[in-house]
Amino acid sequence: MSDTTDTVENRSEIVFLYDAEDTNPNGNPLSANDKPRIDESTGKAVVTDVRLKRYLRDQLDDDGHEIYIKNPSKADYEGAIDRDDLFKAVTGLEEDDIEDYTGAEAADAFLNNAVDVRYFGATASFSSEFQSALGDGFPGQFIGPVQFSHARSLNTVVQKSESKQLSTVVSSGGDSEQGTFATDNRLQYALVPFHGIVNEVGAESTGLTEADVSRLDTLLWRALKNQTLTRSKMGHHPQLYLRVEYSTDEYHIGRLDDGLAMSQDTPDTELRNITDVVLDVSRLSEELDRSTEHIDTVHVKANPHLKVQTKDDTGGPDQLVTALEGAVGEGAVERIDVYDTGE
Amino acid sequence: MTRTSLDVTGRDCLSFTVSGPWAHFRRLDTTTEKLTYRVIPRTTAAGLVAAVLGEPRDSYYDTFAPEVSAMAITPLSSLETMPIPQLTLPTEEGDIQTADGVSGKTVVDPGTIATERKRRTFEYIVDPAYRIDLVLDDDAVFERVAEQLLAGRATYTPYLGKSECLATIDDVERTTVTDTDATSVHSTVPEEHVVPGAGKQLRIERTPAYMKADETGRRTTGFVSYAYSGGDETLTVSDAPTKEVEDRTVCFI
Repeated sequence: MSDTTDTVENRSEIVFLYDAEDTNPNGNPLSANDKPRIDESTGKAVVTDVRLKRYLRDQLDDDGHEIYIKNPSKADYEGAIDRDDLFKAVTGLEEDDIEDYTGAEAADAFLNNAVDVRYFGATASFSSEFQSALGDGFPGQFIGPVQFSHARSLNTVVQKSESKQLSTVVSSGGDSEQGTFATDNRLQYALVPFHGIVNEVGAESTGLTEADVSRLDTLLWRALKNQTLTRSKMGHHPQLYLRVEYSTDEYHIGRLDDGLAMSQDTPDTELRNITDVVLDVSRLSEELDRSTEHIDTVHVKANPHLKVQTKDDTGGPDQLVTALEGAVGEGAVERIDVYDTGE
Repeated sequence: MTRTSLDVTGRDCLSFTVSGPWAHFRRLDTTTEKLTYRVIPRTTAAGLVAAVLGEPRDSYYDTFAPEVSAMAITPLSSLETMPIPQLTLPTEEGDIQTADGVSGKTVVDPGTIATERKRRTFEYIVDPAYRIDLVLDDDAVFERVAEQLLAGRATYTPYLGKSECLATIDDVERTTVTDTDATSVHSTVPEEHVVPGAGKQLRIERTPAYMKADETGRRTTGFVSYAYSGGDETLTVSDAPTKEVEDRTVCFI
């Protein structure tokens, strides 16, 4: 019953760079007025993996895929049913048929219908009665083969000194409502590199397919463009996406994002826009060059406004591609069309 | 307190550095506030090695038992922390539902989100790095670990405590453990051997060190209390079972 048996075979390492201009990349829910998260010892902005995965899940939802962890603000709760009916809802099976299915078959059906679980895993236990009807083969926890680190901005960030006041109405439960004021906190500019791994061995446990991994090549880019249209998130732009796909089993370089650095003369505190930034990718190229024998393909997409510095020259995305081709070979670099989703 | 009983002198040792931008090793003695140990617990380091080998969950504890394994852990960074509050959702029975008639559209009930969504502060170590010296009595497993790490391979993705704390393992060396009389130690040191120094901050923590598989998965069978320093600092010890690995003086636990 599973159509997810062709699990991905190659490991991939992802570097995804986006910038946040006059916006709040990731608010801290325990601070006053959801202040941006900042690492106090380095002065750099921090964005959690949870924030990134919310963008990705929302984009998957918008693309028409079924997801498990819905966005509360987008979910349709009309007629929400008990989770014991999950299996029946997913598979269309009746109560009497359930015991004919093994737990493993139930897990396959669940994973086929929840693409975000195939990527990121989930805790998905049923009630004890239902669990015993399904059998022991249904795992309570799926471990995600795609993992992202928390990101820390390349630059030291500056909080906006002129924060506007918002007036809002909040509900404190029941029918009571009360007006209040909040401060709109934003950063002037942050350049945020995310680092992720797609683990081909872990992929077997959730049935992550080649198509799922290829989807990431357009998903991250489009998610950052499309899922950042609310008041506090306006001003995000994807700048660079790299997925290094390895040919050697169980191998990845690790910390590829450390190969990115900023090399412009403008001080961090005066950065306002991507045109102020020069991204030094020479260490990244060197890392890839050292591991050429392990690399199958480098999938790449860069914003036309991105300026990169390589060990030879400074230029736009073409300069980057030339540097990558110099490192891993011309045939091993593939430019991504993020609007060709193939679906 | 349980300690290794393996005689490591003259034995082959595998030394490697594990590092990453973040780490979180949740303290056992906290619940809603997710505080972290500063030093990677021995049990976590064992799990990291098992992940490199691709060993299944709860299958590898005997390999790292006190009589057949020894490990020295040396912090290489300052081990500063940063709190990262996060909203967490309950997954208790009855909390997760699915929208009627919509295949796979599973949600947590909005009433539950409104009342049960918890703000929890996770404490993360920033830019942690540890040098780990590993001795295993099982030669075959030791060789497999060495082969994987020297080739830069890891079956499961290595991470430092939580899956968003991606880790890198590098500077892998095959070394030999030798005896030494040195009293200035780089690694963590069992608490009873530490000599407090004037003006020196003494940092001590107690973490799980050994585990056993049982019917519920696993249970901790031994803890260790140790002192530690960060970065290039060393600790002064008295009557400690110190050994030398590479150019470092360490205590195996």
